[in-house]
Amino acid sequence: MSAAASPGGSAASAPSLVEAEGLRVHFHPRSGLLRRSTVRAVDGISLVVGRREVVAVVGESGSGKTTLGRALLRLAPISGGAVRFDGADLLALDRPALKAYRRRAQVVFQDPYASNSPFMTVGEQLREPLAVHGIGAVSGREEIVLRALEQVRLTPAADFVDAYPHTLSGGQRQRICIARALVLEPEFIVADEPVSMIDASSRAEILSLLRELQARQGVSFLYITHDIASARHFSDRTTVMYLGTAVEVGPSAGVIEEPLHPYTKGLIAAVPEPDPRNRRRMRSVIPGEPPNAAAVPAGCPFHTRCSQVIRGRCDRERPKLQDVRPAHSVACHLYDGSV
Amino acid sequence: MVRYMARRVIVAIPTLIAMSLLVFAIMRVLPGDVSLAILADTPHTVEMREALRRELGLEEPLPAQYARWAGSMLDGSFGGRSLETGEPISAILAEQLSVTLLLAVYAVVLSLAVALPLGVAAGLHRGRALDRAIEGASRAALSVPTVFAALLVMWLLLRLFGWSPPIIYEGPADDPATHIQMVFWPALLLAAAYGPHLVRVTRTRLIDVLDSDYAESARARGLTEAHVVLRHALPNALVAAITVAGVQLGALVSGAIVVETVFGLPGIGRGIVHAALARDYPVVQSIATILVALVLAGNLAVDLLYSFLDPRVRYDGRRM
Amino acid sequence: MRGVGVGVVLAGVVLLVVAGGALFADLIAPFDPLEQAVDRRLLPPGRKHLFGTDGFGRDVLSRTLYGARVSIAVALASVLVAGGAGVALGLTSAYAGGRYDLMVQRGIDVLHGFPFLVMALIVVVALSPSPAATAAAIALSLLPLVARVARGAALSVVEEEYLLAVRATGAGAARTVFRHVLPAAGPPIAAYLAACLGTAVGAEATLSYLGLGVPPPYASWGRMLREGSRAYFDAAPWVTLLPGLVLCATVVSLIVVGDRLGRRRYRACGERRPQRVGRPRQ
Repeated sequence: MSAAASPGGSAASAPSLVEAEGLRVHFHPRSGLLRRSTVRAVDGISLVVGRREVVAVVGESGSGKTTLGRALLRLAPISGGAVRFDGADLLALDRPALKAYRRRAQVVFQDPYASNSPFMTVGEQLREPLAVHGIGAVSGREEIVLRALEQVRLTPAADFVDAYPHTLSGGQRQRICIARALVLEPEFIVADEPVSMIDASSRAEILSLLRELQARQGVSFLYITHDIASARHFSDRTTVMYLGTAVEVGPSAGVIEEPLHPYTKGLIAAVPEPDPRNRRRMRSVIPGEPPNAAAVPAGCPFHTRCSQVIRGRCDRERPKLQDVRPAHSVACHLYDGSV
Repeated sequence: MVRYMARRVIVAIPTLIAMSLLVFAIMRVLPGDVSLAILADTPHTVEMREALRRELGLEEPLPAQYARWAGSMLDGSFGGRSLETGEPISAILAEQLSVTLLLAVYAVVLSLAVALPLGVAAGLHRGRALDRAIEGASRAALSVPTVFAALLVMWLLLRLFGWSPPIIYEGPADDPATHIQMVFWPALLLAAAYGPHLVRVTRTRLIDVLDSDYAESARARGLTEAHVVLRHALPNALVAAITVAGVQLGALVSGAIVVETVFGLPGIGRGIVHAALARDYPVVQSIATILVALVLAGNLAVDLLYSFLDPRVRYDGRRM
Repeated sequence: MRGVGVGVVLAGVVLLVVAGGALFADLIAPFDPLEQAVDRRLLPPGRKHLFGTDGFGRDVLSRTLYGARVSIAVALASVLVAGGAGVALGLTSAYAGGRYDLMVQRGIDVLHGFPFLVMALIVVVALSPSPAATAAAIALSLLPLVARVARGAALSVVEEEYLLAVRATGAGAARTVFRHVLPAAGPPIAAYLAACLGTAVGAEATLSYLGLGVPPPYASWGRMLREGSRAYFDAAPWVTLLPGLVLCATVVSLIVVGDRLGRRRYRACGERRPQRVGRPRQ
């Protein structure tokens, strides 16, 4: 775990940077002239990211983890619940305050091919956030840009300033995206599957780069991934998400080495190799596909795929998160009696 | 199905109202004082202007003017009388509209009759000389301005055959020979401006279907190519062509305005140009609205026909 | 890159000649376009008068060259206006989405429901014929077309993830639209505007031919079609047909060039997908 990590058990009492409570993001795609369906992408999740802490959000595609990350940055419309950043209510931010927030909270997206503007050189893209926030004199920005490029180890930095993204590899592009987040010296970065679309050879490098930046600059991270083993490697605490809700929350070591929820167990069983260098795409050992977020099953959302389902209970009553071990909680009826 | 049709018709009504409001705004509000705009080129006295203002009801507030005009469009008087001749506008419409509608029908039938076979031929010979020739021809027909094409045709007929169109228009029932002589070339020119769109969409759709998985699986089941074309590709291409025919109705109206004027056909297109030159405000305003309404109605009719032909739209009104 | 077709080269040459002729009309034109002379009325094309003379003894070639100025100026003005307003509407509605987008779309639908000439005609009547009124009339007819194309082009960009990345840096709407959406959506829109210019030249000629475009003494191409075809089409067809040919060649060339630009657009946008990633720079 990272050098700056606060011990998992005391995270809740540490002054936290980001606090979400019952956060909901529902979309209403039109399916007819008047009819509307509701997609519950994020459906009442609570989450805390402490200062200098790395929190992983793990789940299959469609679990709502990307939407959750975007909602915390107010890039997705929030339908309900509350989010606070450094004590301030994110939903109440007016335009200037939101702009100020964007300086403090940054993002690295999954697809480095899609998240660079193909029309701007690397230098132009890195200078843009500085110009938006009026940081530094125009002449001084060059230096900030070069420093950011060096931080992400694109050296010699001067060679990259005038390059267009399409001349770079996926790993290099992702470093550009990280540099773009870093020029604003944020306190909080949402890293949305930052390595899933990169060649296996550069994945480990990028992850260790992120870890190093986290340790040196004390940035808090929300690390979104479908790869639960990398969460163990990179994060202090882990939240496992299924269909828009948290099913298990706890210290990463605890969640991964002694998982409680059947879903978490399934995810871990699907990891072929503990060594990150040989890690492949996750195989699915959980039967079936996750249900559509437009039709979340009643009761426990996982009961349709769970091997330990309790008939008459799991399909009726939605389990609440309950502490089973210190700072390690799970939403599952199997643990109802063990508290 | 009936519900779907009813809904389409109901949705068209606000559009029609918005369109008539736009015509009204352009004609009555944009010029400032309409009476001045009408009398701009003629020497006039203050009394003449006052009389004109009274005749047009310009003293009333604008909403009242619109309401009165819209009411007259609905009760069949279509905005009163022509300023130029004093003729009721309903009489002008009765006289001219049939000419244009006939012309439009001829043009649509002619373009379908020519464009569909051409589109199918191009699609079946994709990439070969015939396809390229058809593509070139339809592109040329599409880009040459109709005015120039019409003038060129007039001159060629005159030069090569010493022929010019009859002066007096005759209906198809009164004197079919004269009628055909008079409308043949205008209809052909209109079809040349209208047909290329149909050729293209027929070709594209045909190719789409022939390349589709279900055509492939039909072939795999041992069905002949002729069967695939006739049973699968053609009906699809036809439906697509009909949709485009609806979308392009507006182009047909613009074309009719030009060819009627060039060939001296006494239709509504030449009528609106004549009225515009005479600054006959009430006539221009009403004819413009009626033309727009006709195009809208045509679009709606094609839409309904489409829903009839394409089962996907029929049941719940969703396209996909 | 594929070779440029003969047609496109030819179209380019035509456009260069026409633009040059319009620009340098006062240097090239052999005669004063307005100078009348009774003794040389309706002369057929010959060595002295390449395009012949009209019923007032005016040199048709000189009139065609000067006419190009009027026709092109009116067309350019209308495309500039329709392009500016249409692109602004299209881009903002694609970017903003929601209720604003819906409203803009309904408005565009209403405008689009008007046949081109019907819209142009009522605007010209309302404004009284003048070059400006003609340009305005054509612009209003082009507006819904441009707005639709611009919206469509912008929509494909708006869904790209890098716009979300731009938003995440805190950039405002204006910056996002102009610095990021416009460069990506620009090439297809520019191609469309080139084709629109062809449509506008044709529309000007049509309106002027109908007597509803630019009024005399402006000698636009459409005006020449009108004068030539009404008075002495039979006796002196060159007065009508030669300017008509120039008009036709210009319109067709503009459309050909627009088509060609349109087909290039994917190349112009640069590369975005991994399969086209070039050699790394290190």
